[in-house]
Amino acid sequence: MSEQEQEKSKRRRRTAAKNGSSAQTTEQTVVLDPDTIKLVDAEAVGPDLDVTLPVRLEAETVKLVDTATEFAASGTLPVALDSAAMQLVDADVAPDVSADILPTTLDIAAMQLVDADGAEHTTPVAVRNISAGAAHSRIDSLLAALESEIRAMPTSDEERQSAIAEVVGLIRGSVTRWPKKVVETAMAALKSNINSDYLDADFWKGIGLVLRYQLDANVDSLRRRWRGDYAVDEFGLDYEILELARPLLTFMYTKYWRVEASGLENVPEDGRALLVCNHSGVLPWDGAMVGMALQNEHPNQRMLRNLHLSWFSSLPIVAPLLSRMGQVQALPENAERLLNRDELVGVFPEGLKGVGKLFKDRYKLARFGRGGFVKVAIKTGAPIIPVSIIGSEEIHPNLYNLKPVAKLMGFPYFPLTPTFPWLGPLGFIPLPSKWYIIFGEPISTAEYGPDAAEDPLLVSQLSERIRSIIQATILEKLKTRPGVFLGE
Amino acid sequence: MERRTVLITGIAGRWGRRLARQLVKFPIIRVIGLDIRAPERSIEGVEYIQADLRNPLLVELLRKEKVEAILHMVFASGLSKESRKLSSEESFQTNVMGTMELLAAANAAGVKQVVLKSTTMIYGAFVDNPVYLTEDSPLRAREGMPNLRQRYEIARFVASFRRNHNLKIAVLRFPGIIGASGASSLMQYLAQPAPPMLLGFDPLFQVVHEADVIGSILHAMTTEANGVFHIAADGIMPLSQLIRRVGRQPVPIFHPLAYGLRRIPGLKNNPLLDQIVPFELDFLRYPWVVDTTKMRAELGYEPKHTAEEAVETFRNTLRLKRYTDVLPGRSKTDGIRAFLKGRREKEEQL
Repeated sequence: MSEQEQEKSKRRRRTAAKNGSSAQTTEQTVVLDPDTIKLVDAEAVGPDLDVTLPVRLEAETVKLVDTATEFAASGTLPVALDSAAMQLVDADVAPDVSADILPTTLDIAAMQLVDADGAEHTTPVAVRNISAGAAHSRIDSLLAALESEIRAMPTSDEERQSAIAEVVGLIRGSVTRWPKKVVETAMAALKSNINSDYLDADFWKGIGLVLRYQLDANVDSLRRRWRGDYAVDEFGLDYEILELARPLLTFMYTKYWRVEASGLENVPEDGRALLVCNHSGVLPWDGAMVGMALQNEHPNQRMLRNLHLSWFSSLPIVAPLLSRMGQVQALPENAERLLNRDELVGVFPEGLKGVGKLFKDRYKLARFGRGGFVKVAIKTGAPIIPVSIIGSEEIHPNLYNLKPVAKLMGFPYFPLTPTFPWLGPLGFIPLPSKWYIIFGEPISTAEYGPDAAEDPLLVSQLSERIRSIIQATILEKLKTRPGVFLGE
Repeated sequence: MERRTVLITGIAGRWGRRLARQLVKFPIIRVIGLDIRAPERSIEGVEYIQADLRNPLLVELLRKEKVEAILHMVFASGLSKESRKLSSEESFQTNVMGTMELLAAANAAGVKQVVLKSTTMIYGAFVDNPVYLTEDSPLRAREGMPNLRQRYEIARFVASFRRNHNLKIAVLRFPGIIGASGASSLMQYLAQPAPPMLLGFDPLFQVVHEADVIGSILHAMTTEANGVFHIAADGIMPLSQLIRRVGRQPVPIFHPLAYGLRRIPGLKNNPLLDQIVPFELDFLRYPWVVDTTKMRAELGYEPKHTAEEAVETFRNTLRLKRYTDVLPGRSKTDGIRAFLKGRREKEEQL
């Protein structure tokens, strides 16, 4: 059954429920709406009773709490990961009667319940509003319960008990000011730690041992590196160096630019693929962030080998550093070999024209080189995944390219940004824009066969197609972007 | 059973001697050694001829002795004391002209195969070298040190010779050779207390074990291989790691300074500076790693030692050097042996 047909049948069921007035049966309808599942209880008094149910894919069960009735009506909603059905049990009503099948597939992100008497609440409620109000009051009540639970805990250690209870109280006090996610994380951490022994002497002894172990490990690793006792891979990637850089990159990814990556399911779990990305931002941070997205959020934590400009290989310090971090010079031979090793290869076909473009030209994709990346992809049969990066254009607004200075210093460009070179080294600090990285659907090249790589028409067509996909995705995202720096 | 005759040119040199030592073990092989120098030590079973390679009688020799294969190990690289004495014209005569005439003679005398030893430095170290150079990559080491220029000349001659003649020529290109003997430009560089590096550059390095140099030459000979092959050990490492593994600590030098030193006219080709870095500085700056797929796929040679093992062998040799002050392989005059030999000859005469 196609999606449309499914949708139709749901509509039919909905209208049937409206017309027929069988007293006890409840009919559910599924309506597409991103991010939240909305339950509307029609029997109760109206939109005030709306409950948001954030469904995370990894959750085994989701608990529903009706805030209006203060736990009086609560139900559990077991969501199995791959199951096509959810069951809703309303504790308030007789359980056997209200047990209903709520057909849903995982990619359907929102649901609406329509009661038997036909009252239907289709009023779209803004997601933000609900989460701010209802979720907080829900968390608040949960916290209250947790606090009393701790206080009632039979334990000899009075001090510890009250300390934890106080922490919970503290969280309650500031819960309205905290983002929902943070409160939930704190809750989970608290719940799992109630019984741990923070105030136990042995606990701190353990911490001491761990620290000592860490110190030993660091000293040992220094000794090993002094002896040259480490390994690099076939292209010079040194995982130990990569681990050293990871904290900074993770900070930039999660906290500084708050990168939102989507479409990661388009990146294969294993096997080769060529990721074609737009390039911007004066300094090539965008490549690092795409790499971090794949390391942090891809289920297989895939390693991305970015291809960089030959110019970087001539720079002292930079050249070996890039090599040790798994980056490879952009040469067709290198790309081909990497893809034949079933690696993920990231390319930035705009090259210098992209990364050094002026601020006024932001989000206008430059020419995609001579399409060399398409040739390599066809030759190796690697699928091409268009990657659109939004946000990196604003990290170093390049207001003017001082060509004479660039020529004098042998740089490909010398940007004048609001901070560089006026603030000296501080000018290298990028602006904290909000980033989005969108991995597009893969474009297969295997069907052309390796010989097609020499067909200039096909190569330029594919190159242009990928460029327009990325450009369109960027424009689409820019339309809805709340602001350059806004967004959590 | 007919014995196969193999001619080793440059038998007095390191590689010639070692190859001969391996070959005499096979009873079906007859080894003739040719060199302009007298051998330090003669190997039993080798027939020595002391002569210049560029000799009109060479064809006759090859024909008369029914030489089937030639292992051409003559190359005055400027590393050893004797070869450093040669003028550039003399070394050109020996290296380039010698090889050309040898190939021509071999072809005329109906020799089946010639094996040449070359180096992967012939591609040159360039910023835009792919991480793995293949046998088809352009040879770009035309500038700089004379020996690489000569290698390039030879390679070009071999390529054109191949097009016009049916003689099988196996050219084996080796990266830095490493092992127990301590006698190669790379080992000379690594053996210093503090090998210099260029500040901020750390190219990937590739090595090959001495035993695999010998092994692959013999393999190419027995399989009558034809073509150019890279022979290198598995595993690459950054230069800094290579130096550290040998038990030394690299000293980074600001690269404009190092290049500047070499450009000062008085210091150009200064033996002392050349000994500190016995190759172009670019080889410490840019990559020149080669691909060895063809070695396995077409030549069918499997290296016996990994890069790690080769480096370890050399490190152990260096450690031993602390106690004995003699690098094995760099043979000191063996007085007793010479005395006994002279005595035996006298007895025979009587």
